[in-house]
Amino acid sequence: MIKFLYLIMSRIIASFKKLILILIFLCWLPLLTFAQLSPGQYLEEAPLGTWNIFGLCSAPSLGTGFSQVVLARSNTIVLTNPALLTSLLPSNLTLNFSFNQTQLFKYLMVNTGVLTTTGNLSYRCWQLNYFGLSQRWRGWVLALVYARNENYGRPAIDYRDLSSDVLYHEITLRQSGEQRMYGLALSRGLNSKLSAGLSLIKIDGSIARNLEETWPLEQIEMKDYRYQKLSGFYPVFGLNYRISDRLSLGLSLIPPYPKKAQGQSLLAYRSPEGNTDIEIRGEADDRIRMPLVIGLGGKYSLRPNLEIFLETVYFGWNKYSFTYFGETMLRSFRSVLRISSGLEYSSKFRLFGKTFDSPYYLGIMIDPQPMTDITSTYYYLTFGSGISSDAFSLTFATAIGLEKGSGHNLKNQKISITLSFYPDLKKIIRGKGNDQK
Amino acid sequence: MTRNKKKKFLVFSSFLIIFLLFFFGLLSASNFPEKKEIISLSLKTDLKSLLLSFPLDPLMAEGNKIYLIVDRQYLDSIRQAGYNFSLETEKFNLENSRNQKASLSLQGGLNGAYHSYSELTSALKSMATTYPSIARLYILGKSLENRNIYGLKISDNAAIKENEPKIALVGCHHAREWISVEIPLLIADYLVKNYIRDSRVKNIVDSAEIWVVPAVNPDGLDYSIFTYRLWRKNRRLNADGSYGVDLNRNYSYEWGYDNLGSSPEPSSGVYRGPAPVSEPETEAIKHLFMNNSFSAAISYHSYSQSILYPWGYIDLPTEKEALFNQLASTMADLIYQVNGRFYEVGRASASLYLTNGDFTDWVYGFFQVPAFTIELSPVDLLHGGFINSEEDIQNIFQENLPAALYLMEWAISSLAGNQKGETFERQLWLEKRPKNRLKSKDAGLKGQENR
Repeated sequence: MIKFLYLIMSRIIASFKKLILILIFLCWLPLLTFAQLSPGQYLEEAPLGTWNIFGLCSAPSLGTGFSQVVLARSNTIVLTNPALLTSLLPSNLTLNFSFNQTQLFKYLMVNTGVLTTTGNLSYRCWQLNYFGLSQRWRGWVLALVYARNENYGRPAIDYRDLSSDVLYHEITLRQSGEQRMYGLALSRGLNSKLSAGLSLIKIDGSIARNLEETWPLEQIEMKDYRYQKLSGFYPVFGLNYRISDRLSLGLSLIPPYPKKAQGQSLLAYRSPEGNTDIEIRGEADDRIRMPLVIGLGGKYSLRPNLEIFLETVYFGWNKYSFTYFGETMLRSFRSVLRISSGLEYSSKFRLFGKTFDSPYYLGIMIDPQPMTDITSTYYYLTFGSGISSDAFSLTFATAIGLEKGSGHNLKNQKISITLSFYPDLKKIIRGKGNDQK
Repeated sequence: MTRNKKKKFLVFSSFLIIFLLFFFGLLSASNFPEKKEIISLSLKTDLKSLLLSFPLDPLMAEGNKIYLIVDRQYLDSIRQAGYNFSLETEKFNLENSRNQKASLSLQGGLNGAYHSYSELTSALKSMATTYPSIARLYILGKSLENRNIYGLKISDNAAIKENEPKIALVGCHHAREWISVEIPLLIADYLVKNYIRDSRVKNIVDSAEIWVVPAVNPDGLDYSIFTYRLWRKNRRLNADGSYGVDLNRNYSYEWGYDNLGSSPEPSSGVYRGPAPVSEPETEAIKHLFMNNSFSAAISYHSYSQSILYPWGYIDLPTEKEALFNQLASTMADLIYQVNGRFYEVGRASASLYLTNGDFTDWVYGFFQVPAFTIELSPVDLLHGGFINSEEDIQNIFQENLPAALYLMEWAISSLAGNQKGETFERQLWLEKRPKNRLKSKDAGLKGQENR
């Protein structure tokens, strides 16, 4: 069966290589032209799209169904399995761009209170979300990375109660925020088969929410502003074991860790006519207990140019706790197992007289969400492609997720573009040395 | 008197004056009345003979100790009679101040000095554990989101159901009316803290059972704090996808009488729910009233500075319009005397707007008990509407306290009169109670319970 699939795939790809590349690119266009508004995901502190955020997905990872424990194509693996750094080319400089479009139905006061919509709302963000450097030196690999891996933005709301050109009531709601990561990783091959790695990740970020409500006729204004500054630190442990030339296993562990959230709030009510100026200010040092994450994955080479990946990532959400401005919020969560599978097929082609590698990715992922009061699971189909040589690689992938369980059929689309360079530092240094001579 | 003697007399007098000033200064700094002390004895002590021999007032029991209030003059006699006791006055004062800090000094959260559900839970538990003999915390029911609806019973024998007049102080039917949580809570706090030092409070607590339910709508309260400040209803997910039932339109007396006093539309702010007492929150209040024969009730709301009485569902007076007006007017006068804030008095339907299925109509309609809606300060939207400053909490409490105490005393005197066989208004109501109607309505409610 696998042989049959392989044969068909290789034939198709060989025949329509360039056409497939163009088609994959065209698949993005409808996503880019969606005239959607903004994002949301049930609970205030939830990152956009999914609760189960594990490091950051480069295009090859995304294309192969979010394979992040055994697939080593760029140094983004610092955030998920640093042991794989030993599998990369000696020098690796990687940039990643991402596009994320997430649909939400219930968030903040939308569809939970006074503001209702007839359909889902969307939030989009397009950003440079990763920069990383890694260098091998005498068997050791050292890496430094910067990533923006969680977004807390929500679709903006502008509500106006207008009648006969008279504005009676106005509500504006904004929420934005992100989490940034700064990582330092060290990895080494312990023997010809086993390698180990450790990453130390520092996180920071913020969530800001602003709700303004006005009654222009009475000149009354109400403002509810909240800001949380996030910080934290955690390690990532990784192991990679090459059982044979064809089969290897990866293991990743992120222990539970506390994330701090320093909060400030202001509730203000102003009415010049009534000479009223009420302010209620708040401050808080909150804690978010992040879950244990264990990733286990396997990679099998069917052919020299065809590899399949199978991964499962456990998120221990049952121990998750969240305090918000001094109050422990009720979070009825269960632990979940994210399962993904993907394949990568590589072929070669010539362009401008040079030979390039062209990878093709295909994958699926099942991503159950931890909330127990709302059963919600995302089902992803992922695919991607790219071009690479000895000096660089440019890959792109997209993932389309459909949610089932909440009754709102939420959609989630991701695009990742990863650009990696493999400079031969020795050559460069030697070259410079010669110049100096 | 020689010069030397004069000098000695002056020195002695100065010392005496300084000593007395110091002594009285210390006493005035104490929270406890000068002549009273609190002592603790082992529960194994022969308390019966002790209580027969000396005028002692039991305060509370904790662990294997009993705490008693005693006049200082008897301390020596008690000791001489062979009773071993420890003086606990200071400890008690210390605990008082600590609890005061714990329950009232709320700072830092989104709600400032106002209580969220969890803060309210802590405050109520603190009162019940600090004053176990006069305060007992009951869970009247659970909200939709499984929060407890607490009722704090304050009485001299809080654990026992006595034949005493019962007064209900209820708050937070509407989530955004944060001040309506604080006022009944502060009144409860005042009653338990002043029981031993204020004879008026002691008389009320000894003669009545005060039920304080500060948050009928705890789910809505937390939603109002953490998500949207101006949320009003409970957190029911309605059939059309909208949220919330107005709990103060969900009671069963003349529920859904018309669409003016409440709305059949789920998305409306005054949605009355799919059926009378359809919500667990109103069900909890119903059970409280079915199991206790109340004599008076106040439901706190905000805003508009008014004291309203039935009927709300129709613009007609009740049989007791004159009495209600007199009680409400007296309360308004007492409020006015504190801060000079004028609370308007009137029938709910005529003063504010029509309301059907509300608490006060239900209490009077079913139980023939005088019930008032007190719409707290401010007077209008321009002065804050549903938002009160943190600094104003104490002012509003101080001005509402005399009114609440007055109604409690009225209920006590009414029942006392009733028991003496005097022709009090209350006796008249009991006789004129429309029993058949009550029975049929109750049967309907019971039928609903069985479902």
